[in-house]
Amino acid sequence: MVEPIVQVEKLIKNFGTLRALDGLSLDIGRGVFGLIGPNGAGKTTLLRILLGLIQGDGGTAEVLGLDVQNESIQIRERVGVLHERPTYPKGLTPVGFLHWVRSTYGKGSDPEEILKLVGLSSAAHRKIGNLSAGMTQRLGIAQALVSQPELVFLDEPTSNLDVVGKEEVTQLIINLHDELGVSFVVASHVLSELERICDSVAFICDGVIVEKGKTLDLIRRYTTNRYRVTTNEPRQLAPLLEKIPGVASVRVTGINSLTLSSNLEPSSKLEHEIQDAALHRGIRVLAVFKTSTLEDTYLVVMSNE
Amino acid sequence: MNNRLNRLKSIMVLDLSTHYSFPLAEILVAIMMMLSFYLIYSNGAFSLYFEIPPSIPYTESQIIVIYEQWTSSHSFRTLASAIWDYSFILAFFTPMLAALSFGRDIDAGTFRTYLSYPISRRHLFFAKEALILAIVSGTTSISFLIGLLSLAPNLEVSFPLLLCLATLWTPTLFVSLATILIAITSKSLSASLFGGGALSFGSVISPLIFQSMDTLLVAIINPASAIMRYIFDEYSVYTLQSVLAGIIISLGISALLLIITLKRFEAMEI
Repeated sequence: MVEPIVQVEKLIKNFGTLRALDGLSLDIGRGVFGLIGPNGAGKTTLLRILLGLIQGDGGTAEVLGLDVQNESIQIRERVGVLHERPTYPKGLTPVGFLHWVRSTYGKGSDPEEILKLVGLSSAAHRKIGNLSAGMTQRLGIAQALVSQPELVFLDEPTSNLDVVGKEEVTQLIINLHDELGVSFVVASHVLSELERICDSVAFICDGVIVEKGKTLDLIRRYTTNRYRVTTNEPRQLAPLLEKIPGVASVRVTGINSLTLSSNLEPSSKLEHEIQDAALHRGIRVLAVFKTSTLEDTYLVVMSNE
Repeated sequence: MNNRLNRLKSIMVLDLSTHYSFPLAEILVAIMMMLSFYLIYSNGAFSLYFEIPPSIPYTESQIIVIYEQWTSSHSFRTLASAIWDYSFILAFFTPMLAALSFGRDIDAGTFRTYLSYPISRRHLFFAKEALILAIVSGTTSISFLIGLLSLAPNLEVSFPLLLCLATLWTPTLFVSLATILIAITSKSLSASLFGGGALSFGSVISPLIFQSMDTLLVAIINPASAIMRYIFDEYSVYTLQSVLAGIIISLGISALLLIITLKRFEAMEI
């Protein structure tokens, strides 16, 4: 990897008796990086340590080559951040608040321009306390960008946004990275978005990194023999499929779908076996196809943990 | 250096426009200004009432003349009474502002937002504390000194300054720091509000309840009461020494409290 912008080595963090980070090690290069894990996995704790908001109990961490414990101010001069459930002064307007943020950094973009960029121009002069959740989220992204940072940490950036808003934010991240070279570390549950924007991802579980790598490499590695079956009765079909030789890791993933791993070749042979098993119980199988999404990868990785 | 000053200014400006925005700051300052005159003159009038035998009839203009004569000849007593009353007002406002400025920001998660920008915790702490002192003690000191000059323009400078320090600065510093420490420890607005309020009123009222309390102790917990004792003890040198020692000890405790609070604030997980 060329010149990591975030380097974490054997990081430990305890909250009382709870170990939130358990010797976590991770290198993040320039680009858009996704940090993926279930609630309580340690994503937010890691971001808070990287910003110097809390201190680790062991290990080391560097951001842009600066030590997080001793040089957190210098780090924060060069990064932007959007927290999960952010709070901003309710009595100010978005434009007023962004002016304040810019004056705090002593540099930055024109607040009106940034608001336009995130689609908040229409509410620029409304009180922050009167903004909707989605608008507040956009303001959060705007304040993270106003100082023209080299690196931006985004914790659940699309939460509270509608479908169009999610798409806009995703597109914004892609554009900012392509046009301005801004790097992003995005912690999120929405894997479909991360798959579209992240060069690399890491899966975090119980305070350790369980898998990491280039997004496409991981998908290829974990979903080569992975199939999705759409059916009207996935719960009844699952135990039947587990009995087929060469089929493993059958998992119901929705009210009309399940996934499985198979080494049966060619894939038409697998489809024939599935249809055959379903027919005996009067279950309809609508389709069998290869899956290759980050979500599937995530499910396979997490099921191994 | 410029950047640091800019950031201190930034925090103060934001705090002013959030916690002290209309109507709170305006009402607060207006009340302080009005009370400084009211308390001084009402105490003068109150004391005067007991000086004039009720059996002797006076015209309104005569009463005004007598009142003016009395307040100038008894200006210390008038001032001391007024400023003691003032300490009650400050006992209410100081913990309220400290709890709002620190307790509410910790409670609501706003500190996390502030500290995501290149602002050091030390700057954040001092900017907010300085603003509390400026709002409470600064504005009241100005209004108090204006009232004082209008009442007794020929007073020796050192005494009003001692009064001012004892009543408007020393307790405010102590109570605000204690309230902030409660806010940092509890991370709760309500706990800091009630904790700071209880501590503040306790220190104001306890010399009243425990009349036999040693002057030194009174000067530590409520210097305004100690000043009253000094004046009504006919300016005893011994009492004055106790008052001064108490003020110094109170400032020492505040310094210790400042170190502890700052350390806790810097180590606080946000």
